[in-house]
Amino acid sequence: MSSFDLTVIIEMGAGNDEFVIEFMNTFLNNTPKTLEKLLNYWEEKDLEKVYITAHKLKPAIDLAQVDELKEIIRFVEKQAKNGKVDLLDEKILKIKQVLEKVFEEMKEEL
Amino acid sequence: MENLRIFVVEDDLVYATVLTYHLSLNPDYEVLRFETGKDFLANIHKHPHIVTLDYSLPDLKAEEILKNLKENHPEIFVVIVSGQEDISTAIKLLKAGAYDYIVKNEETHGMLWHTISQIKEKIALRKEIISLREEIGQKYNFSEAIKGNSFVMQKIFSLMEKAVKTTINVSITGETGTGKELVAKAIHYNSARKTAPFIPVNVTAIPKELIESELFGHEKGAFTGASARRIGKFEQAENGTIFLDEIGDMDFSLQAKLLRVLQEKEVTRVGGNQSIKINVRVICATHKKLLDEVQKGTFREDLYFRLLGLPISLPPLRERENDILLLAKYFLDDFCKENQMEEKFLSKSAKERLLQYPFSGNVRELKAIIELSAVMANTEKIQEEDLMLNSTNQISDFFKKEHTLKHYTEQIVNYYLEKNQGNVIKVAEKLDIGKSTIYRMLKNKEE
Repeated sequence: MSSFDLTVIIEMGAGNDEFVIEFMNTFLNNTPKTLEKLLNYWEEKDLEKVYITAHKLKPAIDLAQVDELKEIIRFVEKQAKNGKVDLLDEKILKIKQVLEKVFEEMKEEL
Repeated sequence: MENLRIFVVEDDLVYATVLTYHLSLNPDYEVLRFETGKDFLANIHKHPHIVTLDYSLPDLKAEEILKNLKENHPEIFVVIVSGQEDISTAIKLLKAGAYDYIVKNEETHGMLWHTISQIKEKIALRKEIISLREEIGQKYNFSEAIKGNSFVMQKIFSLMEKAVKTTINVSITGETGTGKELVAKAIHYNSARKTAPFIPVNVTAIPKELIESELFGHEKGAFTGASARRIGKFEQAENGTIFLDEIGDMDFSLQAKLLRVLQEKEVTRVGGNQSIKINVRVICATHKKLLDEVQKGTFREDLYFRLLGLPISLPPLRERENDILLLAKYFLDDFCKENQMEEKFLSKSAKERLLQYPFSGNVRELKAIIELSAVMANTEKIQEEDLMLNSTNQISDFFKKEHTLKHYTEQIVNYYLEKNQGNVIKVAEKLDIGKSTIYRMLKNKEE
């Protein structure tokens, strides 16, 4: 089973494949960079920036319907906003693993 | 309607791609995308109708951009798109003038679509208002609203031109039916105040006890029956014009209050203790000669000078030469058109009759007479008989033709003969003349 689902995007495209391709390209060009930033800020324990970056990552996860991460990204965002570190290590690692899988699978689909 | 120009300001490219695509599905929407606040502001001259603004941009705060837009481009609708479901932030932004606050999730594009449709409707309504206002302006265009080629009316037009250029008070005098309110409206709708309200108040139409609260408003509980606060006519006319009709009949005690309002440029609601600054132009009208009222002591002299401003004295219709026929034709055409009747016109005799008539009710009376004649006439030509001229004016009307004494005598005798079924003896008795005079007259007529 694929770790993402483009139904929303395909529906929105209403038969326009170019749009779906454009979406995937934009996703693949930008989301890895955002993920990298998230990992770096977490490394530096800059919670403020972790919060902002998680916040930025959220719509991409929602749109590509990466269901596994929908809850997790919100948890990370909230924890970081409140200055808490509990479970963040584990959750951020999960984000990294799942997203990397998404990137590979999406590249194959293109 | 021209294309709706939408700017999407969003630094998250994934999200921006989706949003832009979704909005551009509607061919009427022209969508442009900006990644930063600065980039967006640098392109503001392209006049977007709507801006969707990401709440957390890397360079500028959404609040700052919103403030800037509200100050410099208040006509742009701003929709905040945010990843946060934070109610206090949303309220803060809505209060600062954002049109809507939408949270980013899978449903965002649907909600945004809906919001933009609403805005589109709003813009259409706004445009309609502007065009309707223009239409009103045109309707009250001097030459459209007030017909008249006579020399006296040309003088009135030039006075009105002067009145629209400043906010000087205007006092209009003239007999009933000469168009005082029309002149007041035309001045308002051609002045810089035209987008603000024109509030007419007929001083005589409101009971004496109520007029103060009608003009200045009242606070809740100010008097029995004042169950809620009420805004007065002066406050309603803020930035616009108040038209005080029949000012000459204003109660003496109220005149003092009105004077205070005009002097201080502020009103105090009845029962209130706070004065409210007002910016209202006053145009007043009366059919009385105000200066006479001042001399009689029924109108305050100080108020008279305060209100006088630019005096415009509207001439009675009978002094407006051929305007009678011009107006008659205008009213006739207008009435026929409005009632989908075939075009009618006045016969030569009907025209002559109109020119002789004194029109004590002026233009208003002329309009009524013409409309009635259009209804009464059986053919497209309106005859003298179709004009139902007011009988109370028959005497002055009778002398209008300037006949010889002989002619007048004949007319009088004929009138009596008709009334008395041709009984010469009876008529001779009533008029105290000899029977032979009557017979001679009848004989002359036959010859």
